[in-house]
Amino acid sequence: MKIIQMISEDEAALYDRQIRLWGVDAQKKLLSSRILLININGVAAEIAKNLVLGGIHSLTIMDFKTVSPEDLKFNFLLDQSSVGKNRAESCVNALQTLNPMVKVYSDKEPLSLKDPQFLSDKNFDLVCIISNDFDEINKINKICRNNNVLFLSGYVFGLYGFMFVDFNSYQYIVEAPKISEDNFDKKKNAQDAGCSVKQEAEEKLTFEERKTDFKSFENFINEYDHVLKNLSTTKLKRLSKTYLIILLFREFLEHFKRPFDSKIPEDTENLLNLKKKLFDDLKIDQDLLSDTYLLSKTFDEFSPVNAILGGIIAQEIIKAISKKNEPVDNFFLFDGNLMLGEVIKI
Amino acid sequence: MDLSSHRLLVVGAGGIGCELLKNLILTGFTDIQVIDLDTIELSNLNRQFLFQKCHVGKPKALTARESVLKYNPNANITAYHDSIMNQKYNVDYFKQFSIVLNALDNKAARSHVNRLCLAADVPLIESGSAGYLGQVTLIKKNTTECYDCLPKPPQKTFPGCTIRNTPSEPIHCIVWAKHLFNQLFGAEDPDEAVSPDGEDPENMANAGQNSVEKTEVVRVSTRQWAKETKYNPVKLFNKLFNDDVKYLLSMSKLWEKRKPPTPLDWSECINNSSIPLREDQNSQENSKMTSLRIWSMNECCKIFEDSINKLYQRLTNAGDDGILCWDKDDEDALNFVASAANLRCVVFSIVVKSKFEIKSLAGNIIPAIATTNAIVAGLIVLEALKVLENKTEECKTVYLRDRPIQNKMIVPGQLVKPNPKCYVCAVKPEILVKINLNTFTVKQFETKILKQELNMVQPDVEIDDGTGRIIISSEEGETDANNEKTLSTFGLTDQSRLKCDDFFQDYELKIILYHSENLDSTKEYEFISDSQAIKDIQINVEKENLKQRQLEEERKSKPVEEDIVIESVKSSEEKKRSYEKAFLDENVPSQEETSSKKLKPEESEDLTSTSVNNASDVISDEDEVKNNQQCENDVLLEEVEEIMIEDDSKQVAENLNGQNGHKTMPKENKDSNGSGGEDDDDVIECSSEDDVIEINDDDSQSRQTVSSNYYQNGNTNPSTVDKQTINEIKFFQHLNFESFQIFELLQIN
Repeated sequence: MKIIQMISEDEAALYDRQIRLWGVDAQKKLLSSRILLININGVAAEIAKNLVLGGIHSLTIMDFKTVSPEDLKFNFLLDQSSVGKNRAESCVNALQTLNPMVKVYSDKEPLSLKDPQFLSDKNFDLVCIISNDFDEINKINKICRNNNVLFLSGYVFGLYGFMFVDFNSYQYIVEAPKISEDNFDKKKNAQDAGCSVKQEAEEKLTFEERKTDFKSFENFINEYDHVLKNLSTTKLKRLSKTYLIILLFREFLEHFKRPFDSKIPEDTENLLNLKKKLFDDLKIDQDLLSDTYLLSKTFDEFSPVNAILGGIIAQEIIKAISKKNEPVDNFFLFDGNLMLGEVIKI
Repeated sequence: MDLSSHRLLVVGAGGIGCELLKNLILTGFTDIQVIDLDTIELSNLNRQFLFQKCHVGKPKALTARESVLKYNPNANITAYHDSIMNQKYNVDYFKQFSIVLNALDNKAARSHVNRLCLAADVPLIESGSAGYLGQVTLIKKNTTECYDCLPKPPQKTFPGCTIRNTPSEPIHCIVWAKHLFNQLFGAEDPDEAVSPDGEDPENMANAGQNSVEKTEVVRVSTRQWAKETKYNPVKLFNKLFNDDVKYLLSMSKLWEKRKPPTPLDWSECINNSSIPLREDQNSQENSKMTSLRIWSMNECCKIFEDSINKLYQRLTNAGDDGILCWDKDDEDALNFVASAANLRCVVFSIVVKSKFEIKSLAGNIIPAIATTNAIVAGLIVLEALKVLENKTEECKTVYLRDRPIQNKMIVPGQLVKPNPKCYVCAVKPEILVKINLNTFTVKQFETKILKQELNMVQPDVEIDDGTGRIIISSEEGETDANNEKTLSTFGLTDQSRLKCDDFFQDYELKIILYHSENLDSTKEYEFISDSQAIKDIQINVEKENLKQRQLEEERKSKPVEEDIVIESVKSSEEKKRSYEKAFLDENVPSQEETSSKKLKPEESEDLTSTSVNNASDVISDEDEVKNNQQCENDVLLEEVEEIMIEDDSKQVAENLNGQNGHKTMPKENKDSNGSGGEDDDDVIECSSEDDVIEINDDDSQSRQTVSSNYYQNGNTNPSTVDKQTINEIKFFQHLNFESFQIFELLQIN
C-alpha cells in the first residue's frame, strides 16, 4: 500500500474545503484507500463521482454488463458512444476527468470467475456492491467479512432506497466537545472585568474510541421471519414503507429464485400477489402499501433519489475509511414520499 | 407529468447548483435557465464536479451549462454570467418560470430572490448546506413562511476595546491583524482602528492620568506613521508590539483581573530559537501538511518582515492613491495577517494558530463537501416535483443531519405558515425602527437600514403624511442633496411614517420611526416591532433560570433523585420567534463597548442562515420515545410517521400537527442499535408541542430553545428531562453553536 508522507501543496489546495471539515488525518487515510465498486448503474455513478472528487487512492469499477440505452438515463458517466460497450470501461474516462489525481480502474470479469482471494484486504480496503439481488449481496458480504474488508451495499427503487453496512468488528473515534475548566474561569474573569465582551466558550475536543459489532447480511436474510413474528401488529404498522418493500423483494427472490426486475411486466403483478400473502401472514393492512400506490410508482432507478443515496453511501464510505464518527448501523432506509431517511438495525 | 413543459430557474451554479443541474437534466427537465456571477476557483473542484482544472477562472454558469449539456444535448439551457440582483431579472422575468430553485451562498441574494418570487407568485425551493448539514424548504406565497419571516442571526461584531485593548481569543488578534492590513495597505476605515484606545470605559477611572501619553500615541494615523518610516518592518514591529503594548500596560485598570500583555523586542525575537510558538499537540498530524505547522518566533518575525516588504512594494507600484485589497487567497496578505495575529497572540499570552487555521478564521471559510451538496440537490428535485404536480401539501422542510438523531438522518418537518407580522410577506408590511432622528442622515438610513438590514435594492422613500414628499429616490442623483441631512431636518419626529417602495422588488414597506437619543453606543438603530414580546420572554427566561437553579440545588441535596424537572414555558408561535430573536440579541455587544464594526461574510458557501439556525434544531413531525425494555428489533419501531399514528398518542399528535413548525431537539439515541435499551429511559415529556424547554448552562452563555413535542403514550404530565438527555441537549447546543460560530464568528472584513 502506498504510504503518503505529506499532503502535497496541490492536494492541500484542491481538498482545502473538506480538510477543513474532516481534518488532514482523515484526508490522508482517504488518499491511501483502495475501493471496489461493483455494478455501475445510476446510484453507483453518484457514489463513484463523490469518492473520486473526495480524493481516494484508487477506485476500481467492476461490471461485466454492456451499456444499454436505458443506462444513459441514469448514469451520467456514460454517453451515446458507450452503448454496446462494457459498462465499467465506459465510465473510466469521465471519472478520471473529475479528478486526475485518483487512479480509476475498470474490471469487466465477472466476480464468479475471480479467485476467492480477489476480495481481500491485499487488494481493497472497502467493497461496495450496488444490487437488488440479495443472494449476490449476501455472498460478497460473507467473503468481505472473512477477509476483513469493509462492506457496503445499496439500491434505489423509485422513490425508495436503502444502504446496508457491515464493517464487522469496527473501531472508530468520535470527537466529544468539552468546555475546559480553565477556559470557564477565564470567561468568568472577563465578565467580572466589565468591558470585555463575553467570550465564546472555547471547547476542547476530546477523542473517544468506540467499537461497534455489525451484523451480517445473512442475519437479515435468515432472521427476518423470526423478526417479523415477534412484531405486534401495531409495531408492524409503523415500519418504514421502504422496509416493507425490501421485504417484498426478499420474498420475490425466495419465490422466483431471481431478483425483481421492473422491466418485466409480470414481475409487478407477481410482486403484488406476494404482497397480499405476506401482509395477510403478518396480519397487517393491505393499504399500508396500497396496490394503486405500488402500481403508480416506478421501481426503476430515479435520479434525484440516486443523488441522495449516492451521497449517503459515499459519505459512509469516507467515514469508514477515516475511522471517524459514528457509523450507520446497519440499514439506512430512504422514503422520498415522506422525505425521511432513517437508520435502523435489522 | 410532462417535465419538458416546465421552465425552471436555477440561481447559483456552485456547490449545490452543479449537482442540481445534473439532477434536473437526468430527471427529464429540458428548459432551464441558470444564473451565477462567480468564476471557478481551484478550491471549488473538490465538489463542483461540472468544473475541471482547465476551467479555473471561467464563469461558473456558462461552464456548468457546457458540461451538463453532455447529459442531454437536446436540453434548452440558458446560462447568464450575471448577478441575480441585476435589474434585468425583474418580476416579469421571474413570472416565466414554473418554479425557482435557489442554490445560493449569501443572505442578500436569498432575500432578494425571495421577494421577487413572492411578487411574481412563483414557488421557490430554498436550500443550503454547511459541512455535513443541509436544508431544503419550499417558500410559497400565502402558504409557507418566506425567507424573511424568521429573524436572521445578527452579524457578529467585536467591540472595539476588545480588539484594540484586551484581546483574549485568537479571533480578536486575527480581526486586529486584518484591520491593521487595511490601515497600512488597504482602504482606511476609522472603525478599524488598531492602536490602543485610551477611552476604554473599563479604564476610564484613570484615563486622566494617561491623557498625555494618549495624545502622543493616538494622534498620528497608522498609515501616516508607516509612510514616514517607509514601511520599515522593524520600526512597525516595535511600534505595534512594543510601544503600543507599553501604553496599554499603563492603563493599569485593565490588568487588574487579566494577565498583562508582554511587549516584544524585535532584536530579541528575530534571534529567538526555532522552537515552535506553542507545543504542537498533534505534531504527527501537522507534519502531514505544511500550512498546519506552528511557526517559531524567529520564523514569524521573518514572515512579518518579508510580507510587509512585498506588500509595500506592491502598494508603491499601485501609485499614489493605490490600495491593496485583503484576500485570503493572496499569499502575502495572508502571511502578513497570520504573522501579525500570532505576534499579538504572543503579546497577550493567547494560543497561536497555524496559517491554515488563520486562513479559515480570517477568510470566513465554511467547509464544503460533495456528498452533502449531492444529497441536498436530490432533495430539491423531489420537492420541486411535488410542487409541479400540485401536491404542495406533501412538501416538507427537510434537514440533513451529520449523524442519526432519533434514528433519523434525513428529517422531514412540517412547513410553517407565513408569519402575519413578517416585514416582507405580510399583507401590509410594517416595521418599527428606533433611531436617533437628530443624528441619523438620509444616506445612512438608505445604506444601513434599507439596503443592508432590509435588503432593498433601489428604494424610493416618501414621507407618509399626505404631502408625498420624497426624501430618497431610486433615480440616480435625484435626492443626493438630502444625503448628508439628518432625518429630523425633514420634520420627521417620533411616530412619523415613511413609505418605502422598491419598484424592482415590487415591495412596499411602511417604516414607523421611533426617536431615541438613548440608544447605546454600539447600536445606531434597533428594530423593535416585537419589543413587548421580547421583554415578556426575557422575564420568563429569568424566571426559568431561577427555578432551574433552585431545582438544581434541590437535586444536589437529594442525590438519589435522577430526574430534573424543568417547567415549560407556554409560548405562542409569535413568542417563539421573538424568543429566538431575544436569544440572538444576546450576541449583540453590550453597553460597555465603545465601538463596533459590522462584519460581513466574505465567503459563506452554500449556507442559508436558516439552516444555521435550525441545523441542530430539527423539526420533526412526530417522535415517540419508548420507555420499556425492548428487543433489538424494536429499534425499528421507535420512529412513528404521522400517517401511522394511532392509539392514545393520535390525539396528541393531531393536536401537534395542527400547530405550526414543531421545532424539537430530538433526543439522541446514541445506542441506536438498541443493545440494552437503557437509553430509552431518557424521556422528555411536555404537556404540549408548544412548550419551550429552556435548558440553561450554568454559565448561561449558550441557551437553546427547545420546543418539544415529545410525549409518551399520551401521558402528558409532568415535564421531565433526565440527566443524560440534558447532556445530549448540551451537546446540541455545542453543535448549534459551532455551526453558528462558523457562520457568525468568522465574518470579518
